[in-house]
Amino acid sequence: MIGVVVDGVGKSFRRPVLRDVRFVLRPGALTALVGPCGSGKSLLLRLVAGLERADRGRIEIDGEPVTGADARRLARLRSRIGMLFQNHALFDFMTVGENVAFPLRRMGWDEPRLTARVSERLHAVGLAGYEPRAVHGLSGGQKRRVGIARATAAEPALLLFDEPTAGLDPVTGQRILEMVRHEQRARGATALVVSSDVQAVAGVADALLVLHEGRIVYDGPAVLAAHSDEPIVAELFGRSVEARA
Amino acid sequence: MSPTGSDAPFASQADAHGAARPLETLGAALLDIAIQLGGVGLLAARAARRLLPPRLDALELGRQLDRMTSGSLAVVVATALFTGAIMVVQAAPMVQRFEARELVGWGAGFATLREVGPLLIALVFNGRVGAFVAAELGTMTVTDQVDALRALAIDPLEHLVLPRLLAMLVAIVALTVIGDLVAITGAVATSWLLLDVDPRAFVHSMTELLGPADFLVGCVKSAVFGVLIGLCSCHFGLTVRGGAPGVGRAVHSSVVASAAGIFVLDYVSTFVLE
Ligand SMILES: Nc1ncnc2c1ncn2[C@@H]1O[C@H](COP(=O)(O)OP(=O)(O)OP(=O)(O)O)[C@@H](O)[C@H]1O
Ligand SMILES: [Mg+2]
Repeated sequence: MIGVVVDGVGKSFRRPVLRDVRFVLRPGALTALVGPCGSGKSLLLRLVAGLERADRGRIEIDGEPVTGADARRLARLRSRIGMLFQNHALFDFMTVGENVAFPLRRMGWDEPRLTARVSERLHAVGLAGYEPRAVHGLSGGQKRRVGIARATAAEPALLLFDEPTAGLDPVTGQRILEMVRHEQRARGATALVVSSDVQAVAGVADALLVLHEGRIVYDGPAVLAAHSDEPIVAELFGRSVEARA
Repeated sequence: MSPTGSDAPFASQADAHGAARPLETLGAALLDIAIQLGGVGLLAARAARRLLPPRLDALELGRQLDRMTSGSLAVVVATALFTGAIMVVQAAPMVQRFEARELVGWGAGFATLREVGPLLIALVFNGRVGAFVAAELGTMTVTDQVDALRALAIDPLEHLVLPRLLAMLVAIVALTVIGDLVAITGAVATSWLLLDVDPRAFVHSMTELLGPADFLVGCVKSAVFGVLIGLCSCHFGLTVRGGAPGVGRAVHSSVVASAAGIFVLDYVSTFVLE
């Protein structure tokens, strides 16, 4: 089981997006990351995966620094990460099956084992038998599920999921979250899941982080978050500040 | 690898108030060109470093090679055939006036092998393959597919850039050789029909006065053009910003930059390879 440390991370584009972000992901826990639109949740995931360089601060995965790591070390770290992008980022020149098989092929899995794994993964996301389909013929929700299958194919120790339930109906969304939860528990993986569906993700998460104006304004058990006094957290949980008063 | 470059490659935003401040516009444009040149140079250096020892996706190389040659063959053949014919049609009045029939083969061959062949095929190749690669990589960039590769611990340079660069290099030289042959065939046929030059006399005049050097110069030129088109299309494709409109701008910039580069390099190499 691997932990993640994010310490004093800042990142600006034309304006500061992340100012001073600090948190620790407990090994083997599912942590939800929520926050208003444009608060930098996706950016934070990309920073953890080393896809973007922080202006300042330190990020460590399993004690190894991501910030300032050279290409080879980054590649080694990334081979332990399963990432789902907000817009799924499936390879559109490949079939569904090839997408899911891609990380495995790169790791040198033999064909029978690989085929079995791909079909098991697609079955797990409710897309059994979709291997030969073209990516562009899928619906948004189906693409997202293929993305999840690809991200979990190589049994990564760290899952970074950006909006796994976006564009899905509430029932499917709930099922996907439960599946992510199950996956993560079964393998003892550490997971960071970004979601706009605050109630639903808090329902399956161990811990919750709320990102607002470049800082983490809530860091604690997911079950207690709904009762937080922090106005933005209350708002995210759909309680108006006046109603509490 | 993090993409470099400005938000508006080549076609600068400064155009809007260009008329009012010509110097500023010129400065911005020059700066932009310098930034893009730097980006292309950086990409070239990075790609070169991965060639020693060669680290590239061989399967992808094969796929690209197949796509680039088979996809461009028809248009290359058509262009070359007509160009060969047009050269002779244009020269016909002079040839008739000066009774220079025995020089037609030499003239057409020299122009085709050294200049027209490589230049024309490069421009066709730029419009077809260069634009396609810029659009493809641009789309992959804006839809996070390039980042998805990086997140899977795959180097986009090894997997995307190098196979395309090498495939373009091989494909353009192969297409130039084919184009040369077709253009000369077109010239032979037209000389025969229009000027009554016997094909054997045409070929004789060509082989008598031209050597392997003329052919090789053309091949070297086209290889240089291929690398240039490859670097430009990959650079502009990987540095796309701003969604689908950004992809359109990148394709435009790539084609314009490559075409400009082709003419500059052609001019330079004509002296160097003398
Ligand atoms: N590569 C980049 N270049 C410029 N600006 C960026 C870049 N990445 C992120 N930003 C900016 O950072 C801010 C946060 O973006 P991000 O996508 O992380 O937000 P988010 O919290 O994921 O929002 P959403 O809930 O809508 O997905 C935005 O204002 C965005 O414009
Ligand atoms: Mg986001």
